[in-house]
Amino acid sequence: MSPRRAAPAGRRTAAGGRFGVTGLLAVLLPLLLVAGAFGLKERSQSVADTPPTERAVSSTNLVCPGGGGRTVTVAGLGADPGEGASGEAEVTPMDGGSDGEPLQLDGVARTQVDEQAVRIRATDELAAGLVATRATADRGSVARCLPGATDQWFTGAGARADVGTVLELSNPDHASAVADIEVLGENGPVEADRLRGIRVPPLGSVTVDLADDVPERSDLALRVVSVQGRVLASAMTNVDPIGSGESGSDWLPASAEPATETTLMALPAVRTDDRRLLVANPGDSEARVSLRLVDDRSSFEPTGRRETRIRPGSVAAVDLAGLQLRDVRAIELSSNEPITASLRVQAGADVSYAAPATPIETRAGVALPPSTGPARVVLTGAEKAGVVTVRGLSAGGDQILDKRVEVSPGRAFGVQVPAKVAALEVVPERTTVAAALLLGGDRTAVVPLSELDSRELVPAIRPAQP
Amino acid sequence: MTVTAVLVSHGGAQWLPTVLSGLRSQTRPVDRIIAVDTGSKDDSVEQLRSALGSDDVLTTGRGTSFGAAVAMALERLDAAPTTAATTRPDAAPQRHGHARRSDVGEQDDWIWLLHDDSTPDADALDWLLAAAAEHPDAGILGPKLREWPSLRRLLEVGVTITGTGRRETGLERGEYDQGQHDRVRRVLAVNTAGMLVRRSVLERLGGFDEQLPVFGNDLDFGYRAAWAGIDTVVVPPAIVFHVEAAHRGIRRTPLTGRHTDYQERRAALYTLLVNGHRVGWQSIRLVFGTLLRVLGLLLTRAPGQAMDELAALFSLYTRPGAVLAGRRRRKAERTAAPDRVKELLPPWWLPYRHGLDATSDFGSAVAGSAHDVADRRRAAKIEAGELPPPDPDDEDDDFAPESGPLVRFLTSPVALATTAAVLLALWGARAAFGSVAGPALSPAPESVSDWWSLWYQSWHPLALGTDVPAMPYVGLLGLLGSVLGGPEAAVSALLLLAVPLGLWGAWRLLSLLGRLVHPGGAPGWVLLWGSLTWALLPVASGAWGEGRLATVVGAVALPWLAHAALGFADPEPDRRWRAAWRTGLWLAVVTAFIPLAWVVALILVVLVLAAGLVLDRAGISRRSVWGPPVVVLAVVPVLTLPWLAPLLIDGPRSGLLLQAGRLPVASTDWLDLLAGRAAEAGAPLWLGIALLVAAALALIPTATRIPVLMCWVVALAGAISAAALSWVRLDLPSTVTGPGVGLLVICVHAAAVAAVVIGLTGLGGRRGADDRSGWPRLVAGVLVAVIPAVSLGWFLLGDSSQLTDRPESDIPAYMQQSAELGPAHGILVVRGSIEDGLDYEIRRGDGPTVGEDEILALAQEDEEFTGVVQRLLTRPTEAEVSRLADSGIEYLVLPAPADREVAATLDATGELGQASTEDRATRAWRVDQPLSADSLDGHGSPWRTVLLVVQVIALVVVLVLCGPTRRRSREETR
Repeated sequence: MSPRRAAPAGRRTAAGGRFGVTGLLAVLLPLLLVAGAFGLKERSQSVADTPPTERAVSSTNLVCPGGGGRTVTVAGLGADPGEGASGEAEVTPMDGGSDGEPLQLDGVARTQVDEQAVRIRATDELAAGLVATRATADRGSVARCLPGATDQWFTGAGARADVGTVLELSNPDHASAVADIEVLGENGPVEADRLRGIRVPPLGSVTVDLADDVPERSDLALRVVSVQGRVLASAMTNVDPIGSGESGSDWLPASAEPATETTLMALPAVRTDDRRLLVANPGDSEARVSLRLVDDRSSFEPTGRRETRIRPGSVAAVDLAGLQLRDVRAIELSSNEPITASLRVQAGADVSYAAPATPIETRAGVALPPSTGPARVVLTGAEKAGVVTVRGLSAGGDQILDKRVEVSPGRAFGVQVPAKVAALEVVPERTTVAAALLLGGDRTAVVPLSELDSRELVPAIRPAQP
Repeated sequence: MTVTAVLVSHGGAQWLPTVLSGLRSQTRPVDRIIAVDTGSKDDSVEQLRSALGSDDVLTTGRGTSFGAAVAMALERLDAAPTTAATTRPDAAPQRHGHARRSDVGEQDDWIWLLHDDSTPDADALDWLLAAAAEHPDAGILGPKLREWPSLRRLLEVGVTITGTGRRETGLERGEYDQGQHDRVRRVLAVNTAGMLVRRSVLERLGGFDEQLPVFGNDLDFGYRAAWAGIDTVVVPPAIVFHVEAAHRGIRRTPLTGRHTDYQERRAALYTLLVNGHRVGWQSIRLVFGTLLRVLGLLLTRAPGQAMDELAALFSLYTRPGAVLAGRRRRKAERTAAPDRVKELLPPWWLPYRHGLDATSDFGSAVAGSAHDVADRRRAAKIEAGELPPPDPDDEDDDFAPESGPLVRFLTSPVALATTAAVLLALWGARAAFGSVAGPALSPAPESVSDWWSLWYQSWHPLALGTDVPAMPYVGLLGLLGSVLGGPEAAVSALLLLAVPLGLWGAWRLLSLLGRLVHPGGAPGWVLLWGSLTWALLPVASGAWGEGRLATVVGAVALPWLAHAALGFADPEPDRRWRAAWRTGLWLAVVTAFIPLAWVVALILVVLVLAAGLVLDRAGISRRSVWGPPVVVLAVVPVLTLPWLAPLLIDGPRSGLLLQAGRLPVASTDWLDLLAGRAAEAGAPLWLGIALLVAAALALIPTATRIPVLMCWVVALAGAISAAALSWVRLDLPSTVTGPGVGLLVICVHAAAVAAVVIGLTGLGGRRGADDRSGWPRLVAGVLVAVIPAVSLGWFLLGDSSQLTDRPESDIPAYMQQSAELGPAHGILVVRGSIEDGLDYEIRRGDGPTVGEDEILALAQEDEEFTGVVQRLLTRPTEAEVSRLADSGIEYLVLPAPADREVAATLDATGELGQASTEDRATRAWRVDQPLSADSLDGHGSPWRTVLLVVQVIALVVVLVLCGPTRRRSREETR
């Protein structure tokens, strides 16, 4: 057919029908090849992440920060909600050498301790759901006892005369720990060499007076990172407004880790305008922060406000002037960059801080210091509509409060706590919720509630891909 | 003077008429002929009797030696000194005149020995006697032997024996007689065929040695004569034609047996031992010489001959009595000065020159062996009448111009361009100089012995100890590293030379393909284009840049493998078998790196044989047709036995398909296949697709469409195999992976290159000088030239290489140094986070190196130890730390970013000491307990040695069988 084919030079002069077959094949084979290629199975080789599993903790070490009251209330809430646990805990003064003393626990127990920090240790059954609180007799400053941590934020510390923070680092383990403290100020990160590599002896504490070591006099945000071992940091902050003559102090609670949505809750219902909202932006970009207010009925954005701009790596105050905060239960901060925040409220000598809200998924618990006034559990930040059960145990271990609250997003809820309640348990169902304990009376105090570490994560272990 | 011819016959009826007429037509007639027949089964005796009368024809048994036969003839001569039946023709013309026969004493009795397969020229005796007259000292005279039936080639003009026992004629093989050796001279010995010997000498020396029934008795006789002071003279003008029936194995007698080589060799050794001067030294030398010859014979696939060699040595050395008796007898006869004997022996260096010649012959045979399947096919077809004989005018082009190689090189643009391409490719591969590692390439081990111990050990002290066998390529790298002087050099050389070696192989293959398609072959430029594109495939695929050694080696070996496999198309059966062994060897090399290759080969062989059954049942059922492909498949498992057998028996079976190199195996999707990508980072995608498009366009010219279609069939087979095998799932302890189809992707594109080369050859080819400006060829040429140009440019200038000197390590250097102290100083490395899971790895020595990756990937997880690690990282107690020490782990490292919670947990135990790290995001601890590597000690398997021995023997056998076709085997298989 083709003249070339007919030429004798074409070695394989084939029969005429052959052209049709070869022509067909010439079209077919490349198409088949492309079709075959589509049969390839691609295998992604990245090893899938394996989530950790959970199990009940087998031992818990809580550190009650030193100073500020001698009464320690310890409660065993058990591994599961509503269960309660009894057993023997061990209370050890964290001076690096003292032996622990046993503390018999049947639901709730109270004990008097010395000035310094103490460690409360429980193993086995009691380990899960162990909570403790240290408070002054007037309940003006109340600190939760918490396990050692590796990364904590404190927003709103100070190193000056009117706001002075003394940081206490406690190491609950038997091996020494090393911590770094990073400091952010109004004008960016603050160089504080003496806050690097602070060694904390085993079962001991170290106190750091920021006024001595930080050359910055603005509002500060601190980040305490344990580079070795675990430490629990607590920030006792003394507020002494110049000229007012009334000074007060309280523990500045650790902020939630930096996030773009941050809620400060359980604002003390005191008559004062002395509120200071501080926001730290640890990131590298400017943060623009706006706020919403939450009361018992709804949440709303205050009108006529501009966003607060916070430079990277710095701390700034958010102007609350003109805001009617009397019935406000929580302030929600939204930012384009992860931030941390704190709200200080001062009424005369009574200094307290709003609680950073952390979502509770399964259970939170708290031990209450001996009653001196009304107490109220504030719930907010429900993810969706659900039910929250608030249970209370008396000092004798009896359940004297069992209240179910139907919660919904966008508003705050409150539950009155009877005076005899010595330990509380908050259990959300079908939703997550944030909770805090607001203690009133002569002095006010706010105690944040957070997820109980009654279960620990067990990482998946596997041989590495060589 | 009388001359008695003694004719010893044994089944030589076919030659006897000529021999007898030769004897009768002597110009100097023989005085008497006595024939001795040693038990012929044909009509030799009848022929002899009818020619010579029955009186002078003696018959004896089949086992009679030549010496005994001659002795019988002499006895007959004594018993009946004269007989009526003389053969002297009365009117024989005396052509050679008086002078030559003058001075021979009348009283001298001469015996002229002849074989039944040797016939004298008419004036042979005349010349011999004339020489005897001129050399009165000469007791033995011999003629020049020429080949019968060619009659022109020289066989012997006197012989001597070298120190190694070789019968030395001083002639080239098949030398034609042009009078170049026609000088009457003293020699050590002459052949008994045509030997003229004084009867007195024969009697004085006691005839021929009974120990030498057939072969070598002439040498021994001459040797003895020389010691006795009797000269042996060769008389070249006297000519005897000789068949050498016994030597060539045409004649078999009970005395020669089936093993003529054995008899000849035994005779040679005996001759040397009984006649030699320094027998002690000689006997030692012969042992080693024999062993060397045995080795050489084995290497050239002559095991029978090798066994004969060995048996000859054995039979003499185990019975020294015969030799000693022989020496005793000869001692009495020794009168001559040693120097007079020595000058007859060849110079000492002669055996070495022969050895050198043999070696270089073998080398050139190896080099030329794979050559020209195309030519042989064409020749076979011309012979079969399927093709017209070539026009002699066409051949003119093939003759190179009369100029030196340098001039030819400098005036050939193709040669210059090829050289430039090779140099550029070497420059492009500069990252592979020295120590090299990459995303898929672990660093080379410290020393070659690491590779060898991976090869020979069945238990490896890696991680927690494992009995997973090393992949077979470790042995290859061990060999290469031993030759090049280090593992780094071996890996570096493979990567550096990948393109040049691929270019060479592709050039050979493509030029062969070109000649299969067209007698003129592909033009040089087309070959350069094709082989360069082909050679750059592993680079453009990205495999080279990531250090995917397996794919690179596979791609380099591919053209060689294909070239060997084309030998299956050879018309000669023996060459097909050779091709099978060669293909098997290449396939084993590829399989050593990529076990999948064998599976693909299996599929191809099954398909081809099945197609053969359908298309040509008669052809395929011949053993020399279906056998070679089956041999290829069978060779590979045997050559990889030390790896294969443990995996098959003990597992893990997933190792049977896991390709060499560091995980992860490159993942390939459909676009990768079409674009020729075998790794993540390759050349621009359009490059590979352009190649496929060019190959599709090569289908357009009808003249070459069928061969191009065949290339497409290969490409299609590659693509379908890749698609099918990509579904194979290999479950490894740490991950799930596939076997990796990178090489198949390269196969597809290599087939495309071949298609384009064939298309271009057909388009312009070498049809004629006037066609060279054809525009389609020009356009196509320019278009396709872009592909290798861009490839090479990308190789040189693009981000083609991710190779580095050393992989970045997140392990502190001091720990690394400590780890190199010994296996007890392991490092437990934990990466990941609690949220996403933690991976642990145990590093020992210099970390995972080439050869260890696959073992580590396949080593079964020790679940008990995983539990220990889990407890260690969550609730550590002293027990876990002790367990680390017992497992030979000195340090525990959490490389940056270390999970804080895990680090804090580990900090909290008092059992681990803090260890310093370079950055704070990395955390490390030291196990402060006595370390022990006892738990690493595994029980080696005694079978390992057996498997290794089998492998080595198989390798040697296959190498020997790969050797070029020898003339003899070719003759036998015809």
